[in-house]
Amino acid sequence: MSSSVNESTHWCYRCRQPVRPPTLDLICPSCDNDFLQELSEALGNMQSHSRDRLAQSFYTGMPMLGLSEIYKQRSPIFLNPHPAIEAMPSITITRRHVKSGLQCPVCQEDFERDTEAKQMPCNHLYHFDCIFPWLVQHNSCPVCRLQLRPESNGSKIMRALISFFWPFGGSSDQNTQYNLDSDD
Amino acid sequence: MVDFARVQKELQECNRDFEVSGIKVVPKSDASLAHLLGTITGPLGTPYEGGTFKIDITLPDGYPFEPPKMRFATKVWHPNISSQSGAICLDILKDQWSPALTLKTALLSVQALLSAPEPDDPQDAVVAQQYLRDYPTFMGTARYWTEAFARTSSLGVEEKVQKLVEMGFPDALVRSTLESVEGDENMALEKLCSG
Ligand SMILES: [Zn+2]
Ligand SMILES: [Zn+2]
Ligand SMILES: [Zn+2]
Repeated sequence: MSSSVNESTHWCYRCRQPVRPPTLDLICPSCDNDFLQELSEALGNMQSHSRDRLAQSFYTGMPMLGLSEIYKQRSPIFLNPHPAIEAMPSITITRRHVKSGLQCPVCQEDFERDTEAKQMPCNHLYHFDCIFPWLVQHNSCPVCRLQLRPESNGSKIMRALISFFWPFGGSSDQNTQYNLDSDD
Repeated sequence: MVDFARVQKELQECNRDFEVSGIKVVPKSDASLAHLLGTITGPLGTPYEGGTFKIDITLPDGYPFEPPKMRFATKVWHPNISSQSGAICLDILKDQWSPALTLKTALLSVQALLSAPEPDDPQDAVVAQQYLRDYPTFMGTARYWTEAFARTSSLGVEEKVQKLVEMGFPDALVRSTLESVEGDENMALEKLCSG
């Protein structure tokens, strides 16, 4: 086992990698931000063996990818994506949307025609990259605070996301730095 | 990483209707948008009327997914604001924050808090006690603090500089300090005294 992996205790949402905060301050050692979640929480109640391997694939394969890239590149091997994300429809931004000056409430940029947006059950629209970090930790629409279904809470979405890239099936060149079974 | 593109937009948006809202946000220095200085006017019909209150704003790395950190830089006597540190007890700055809120809406909420204290959920226990047990004294103290600390004077910049220089502070330091607090001579004096 790589000890650097074992020592990681938190997930940094900025670096998108497991990190070990130096103090109880919960600050990422590489980027100084405090947007961290306990790794165990992020990983949910997966079995410990899976968790170790998962942490390794996080560590070796994922750091530079954005959430939507991870999402898009998810392995076809994984057959059971979480309903909360799957059920959230993507809609294509039309001329009518653009004309009405529709903005993403998070980044406050105008939506561009023919791009995709995620539609919450309350019909509020967001860029995927904008709503995802929020849903990882919260369970509501930022605009109207409508609660999503209770079972689709943040940690479950996180768990679902993790399921997307474990067993890790992304581009293989990212995954060769570390042989998952070498130390077993 | 703070979404600075959004912060930039917010500042423009917010300062456009300062005349109407009485709310303004400016960067504390040219170097960074992570430290900002907000301004709100005291609501009419409250002991804060006539006051201009500065609010120190720090944006955490997770902004706008995490709430901005706000505290009063101007001293204020209010049950939900620490008379010592300026810390604010307001749900939307804590667990009720949402990334659809903005610096402006947050400052509007702070302004609304000045109109509607919630002594049952106090930040400053002493003030809250006074509010509940001796309302007239509370009103008097709050009004006095507004007069003493939040009154923007009609002095011009040079007059302010002169006043502070006469108190024994070096000219250049006075000017830079005044600039950093947007010309508020009370805050400048406090800063100069605290070194
Ligand atoms: Zn980091
Ligand atoms: Zn967006
Ligand atoms: Zn909504």
